[in-house]
Amino acid sequence: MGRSYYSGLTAVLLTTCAPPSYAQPLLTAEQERQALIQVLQKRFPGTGPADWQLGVEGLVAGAGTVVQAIPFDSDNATNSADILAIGKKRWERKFKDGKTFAHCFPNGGKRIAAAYPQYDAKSKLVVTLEMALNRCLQLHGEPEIEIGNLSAMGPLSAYARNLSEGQRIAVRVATPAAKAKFDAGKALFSRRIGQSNYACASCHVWQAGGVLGAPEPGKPAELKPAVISPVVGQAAAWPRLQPGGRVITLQMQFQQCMQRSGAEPFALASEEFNNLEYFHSYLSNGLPIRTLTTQR
Amino acid sequence: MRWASAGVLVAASGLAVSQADSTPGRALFLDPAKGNCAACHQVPADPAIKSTSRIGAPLVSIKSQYPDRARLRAIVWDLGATIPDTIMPPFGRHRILTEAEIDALLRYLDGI
Repeated sequence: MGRSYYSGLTAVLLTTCAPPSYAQPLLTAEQERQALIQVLQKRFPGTGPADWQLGVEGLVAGAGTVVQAIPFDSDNATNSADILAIGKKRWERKFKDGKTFAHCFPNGGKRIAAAYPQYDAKSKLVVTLEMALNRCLQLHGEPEIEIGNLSAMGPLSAYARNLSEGQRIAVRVATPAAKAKFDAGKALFSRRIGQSNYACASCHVWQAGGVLGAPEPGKPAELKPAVISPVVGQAAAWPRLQPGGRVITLQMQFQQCMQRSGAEPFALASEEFNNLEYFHSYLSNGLPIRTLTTQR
Repeated sequence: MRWASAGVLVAASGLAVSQADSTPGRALFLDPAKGNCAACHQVPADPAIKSTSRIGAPLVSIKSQYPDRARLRAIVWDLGATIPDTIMPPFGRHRILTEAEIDALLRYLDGI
């Protein structure tokens, strides 16, 4: 039985090693978020979600004894601009029926990304922004874009989210059915998996701010410091840019984490990952969306 | 730090690694696909390993800390058996390392 990040806050024990028992009373989504914030604030006194949204850099101010500042790559404006231009072109391309993506969303798609992922009562599934884009294509008789096709979905997703740049994340968990998806996401976040036996929470709650050594190719004995970011705030800055201008989505990062844990990753847009993204994004409610950063 | 409660770690040491550089255990210690131990642990007695990792405690004077080899082996094999919420992978239980590889790793650890 692993630690609960609720110990001291409530008698409810949702462990880091096992899914929550549904025989126990569950916290509301907001109580879950606040509980995690309290845990992280104990680790990093004087900091909060507004700091953590900056990734590892945000831990430095109030946690100097725990984390040392490391160089932060500034955003690659040229690549960001190029990628957004590609996404804009795709966004504005007319479908065969003369419509565009803007016709599928309220307000022409502006300021809508903050509400994703969202629970769709009709399909009884969590819908991510990328899935909503594909639903739009489907609705208008267009071929869907493979979620993992980063040259197509990456820029489009980045542009769609960039239309909400600065909007505060406002993921809703409004019904028991939605809460069940949130809880499923939390269970996956807390479950140890893979050969290395890590849970997401192992690193991004319990070891957040910890310094790992990352070996460089060909130099196994020379390890670079890599600070582990806290979970609260992570969802505010996706998709991100990697060296070379590669766009990486949040679910691709989930896959990379699972691979590091020695686990076979779930598929992009799988129900498991969608629920995880739902839970994970809710934890960043209230934080402003920033797209195509290079933060860690 | 939970590691401390395992008694794994230690105070500063003046021990130096002499013959360690080319041992199979050291290679396993560094191999990201195997032990990957340096990702979490510093090894002050093996200065060629340049790591500022602070997930696990520095590994110092292991042989004197663990005169009972079986105890050290059990930690590497599955620390979770005694500390359920440890982040240290169960190298033996999950077959990340073979029994022979664990033995080789322990021989390296004996030298630090």
